[in-house]
Amino acid sequence: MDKFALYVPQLLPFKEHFLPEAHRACMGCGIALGVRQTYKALEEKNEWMERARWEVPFKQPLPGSLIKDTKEVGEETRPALLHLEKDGQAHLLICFDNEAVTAKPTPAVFKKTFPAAAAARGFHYVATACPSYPFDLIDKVRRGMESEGNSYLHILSPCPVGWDFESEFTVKIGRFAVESAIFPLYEVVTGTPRLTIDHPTIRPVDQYIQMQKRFNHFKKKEILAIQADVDSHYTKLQEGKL
Amino acid sequence: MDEGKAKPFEPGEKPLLVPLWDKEMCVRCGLCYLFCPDAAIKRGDDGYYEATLDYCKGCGICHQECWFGAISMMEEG
Repeated sequence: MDKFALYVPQLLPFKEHFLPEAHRACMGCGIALGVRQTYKALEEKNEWMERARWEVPFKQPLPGSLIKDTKEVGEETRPALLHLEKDGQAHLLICFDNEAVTAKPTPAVFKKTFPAAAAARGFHYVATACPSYPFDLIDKVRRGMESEGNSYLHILSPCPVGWDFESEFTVKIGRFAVESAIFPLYEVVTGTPRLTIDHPTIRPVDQYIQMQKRFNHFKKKEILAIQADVDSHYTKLQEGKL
Repeated sequence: MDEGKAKPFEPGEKPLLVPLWDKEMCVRCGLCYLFCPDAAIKRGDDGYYEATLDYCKGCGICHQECWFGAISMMEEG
C-alpha cells in the first residue's frame, strides 16, 4: 500500500448490484447513476435489497397520501419510485425525478411541492439528494433507513435525452442545479429543514437553464421570474422554514 | 433476475468512443469509478482503473469529471 491507495471513493464497497445486464438505460443516465449509488448505500443489508420494490411510472397511482398533491401532474409522466421495506413494513420511499413533466416544463415548481407535501403529511425524515453529490446521497439513504418512522427521499436525476444535453454533462448539470439553488439539498427532521450543502456563492439560474435545450423557449422575463422564485425559496430554507 | 419477466441480455452495440487512462496523470482517486452510471469502471490490482468495454456505453462522464484530465475518449483499437 502506497500513499495513494486510500482515496475516499475506495471506502465504498466495490461490489456492484446494479449491472447493465439488468437495465437498458441510455448512456449517461442520471437514474441509473442514482440507483447504483443507492444500492451501494444499502450494502450488507441484503434483506432490504431483496425486498425493494419498484413502481414503474406508467398509469399507476402514487401511494396513499401523496395522490392529492400530484393531481396536476399527468398520469403518464409520474416519476419512478422505489419502495424499501424494513421489518416487513414500508419504510423508505425514493423518488427518482427526471422532470418528465410535459404539461409545465418549468423548474423549481414540481420539486418544491413533493418534499414539502411529504413533510406536511407526517413523514419522519424527508430529504432531497442528487447523484452529483454521491456521499450526501449515500448518507441520506442510510439515515432514511435508520429513522424511526417513514421516510421520503427525492433524487434529481438529469436525463440527457429529455433535457437535451450531451451525455457527458449529466453530473455537471446536477451540480449546477444545486449550486444555482434551483434544487437545494436539504433534509427535514421533525419539521425543520436543514441545508446539507450550502454554497457561499449562488450561481445565477441562467447558467443552469442555458446548459439544456429544453428551456430554449424561455424569454428573459421568465428567467428573471424563476430567479426571484428560487431566491425566495432558498432564503426561506436558510431560515429553517419549508 | 429470477422473478418477473425480465431476462438477462447481452449489452448492446459497442460504443463509438471509449475512455483511455493516461497513467502518468492519473492519481487513482476513483472519481471515474464513482460517477460511472453503468458500473463499467473497475479497479485493477495495481490500483489504476480501467473500463469493462462490454458495459461501457461511451457516455463520457468519466472524461468530464476527471479532475486531472487523465481520461481521454478515443476510438476503440
